[in-house]
Amino acid sequence: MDSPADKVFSAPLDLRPFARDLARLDDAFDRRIRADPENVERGLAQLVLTVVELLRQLMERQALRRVESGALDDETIERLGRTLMALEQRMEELKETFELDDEDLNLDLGPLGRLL
Amino acid sequence: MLWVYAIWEHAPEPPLAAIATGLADAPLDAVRAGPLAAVVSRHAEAPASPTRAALWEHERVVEALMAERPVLPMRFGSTVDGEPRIRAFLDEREAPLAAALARVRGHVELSVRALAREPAPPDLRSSASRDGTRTTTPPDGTSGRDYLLALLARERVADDAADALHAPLATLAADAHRAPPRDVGELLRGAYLVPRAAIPRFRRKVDQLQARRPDVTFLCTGPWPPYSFVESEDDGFTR
Amino acid sequence: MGASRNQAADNLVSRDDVALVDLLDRLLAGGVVIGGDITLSLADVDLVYVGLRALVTSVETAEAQGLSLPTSNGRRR
Repeated sequence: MDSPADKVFSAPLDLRPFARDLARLDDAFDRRIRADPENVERGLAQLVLTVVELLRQLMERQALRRVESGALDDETIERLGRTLMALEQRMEELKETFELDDEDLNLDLGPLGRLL
Repeated sequence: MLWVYAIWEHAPEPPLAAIATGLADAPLDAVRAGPLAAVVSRHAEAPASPTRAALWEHERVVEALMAERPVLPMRFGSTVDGEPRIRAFLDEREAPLAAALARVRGHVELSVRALAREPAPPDLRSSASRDGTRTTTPPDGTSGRDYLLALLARERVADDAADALHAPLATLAADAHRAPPRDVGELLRGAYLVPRAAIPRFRRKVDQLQARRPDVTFLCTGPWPPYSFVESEDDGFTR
Repeated sequence: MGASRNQAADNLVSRDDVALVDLLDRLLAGGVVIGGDITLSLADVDLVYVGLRALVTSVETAEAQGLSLPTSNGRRR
């Protein structure tokens, strides 16, 4: 087999932007979601908000498909939009409360991530 | 327990021992059902947690198999308690698995990622940002409808940006997948099923795209086993 | 031979690293899945098993596959 470095065909001199995943992939390396007593609360908040954010993005995506399909009436579109807007706002508030940013919420959820 | 590396069409030669050894130096074995077989190694307990070394060791086995004949690689960490589970799976999925093997025969997977070059100039950080992702929350009084339309518009900007890079590469591939944008600044995350003979042409195309797009930085890696092409939409439930 | 490491002091990312990212994207989210499971454990105690195969899908996809789904007000489609 090639050595790992041989797998790289074309690459820029500065590889750092392409390796951002590595920091949070350390969490994803294990399918088991670990919790140790010291970091339980923060780790749990991170896990919960990541799942919530994943679902929010899934629903947002599906809502956009519905809107595009033309199958929704104006009132429904308005309601859907208002709800998604409120959801996004609430996510921002939760992230602030737990001092988590978008990077923190990007736990690799394996096959679930692909559903995005 | 059985650690599973890949699925392929069974053949008596060459013996698996001549091709590779598995994780923790365990010998490889084939669990057969019909024309197909799963290549496995046997262990008392899980032979690997996903350290870098284990991942590359697993990959080494898959690539050694692929050098012999077409493979459908397993997801890392695929383990089963016993052979019956594998045989049942191979029986139940024989048709789509055989079709997938036929699709990947003679092909490899190439990966291309493209990022917007940093830093983005401040005047581009508007609500309709260059890569289409949201950088501002909507002002008060925005209607639900306008919010959705703005999201749609941003999605289209991101999609168009990705397609501009993806489409010329996809034309050189038998099949291609483009993931939805993940990070801010990630313009493309694509997987391409390319005939081996077309690898040099594909690489040249990436270099050409790079030359034409100084605002983007490309990373191309491979060849990989066809992890992204083991299923098709016709198979029923897919990712 | 081996990694052509950039010797710049502040560049600690090598070709091995970016190759690993692309490999991981494939190994952990691609490939054939027998079953497809997640095991949630706390302090190394396995607690919850989640069968992934049909865990999350869009309503359209599920209906296209002939699944009978409850609506949010309790009736079935």
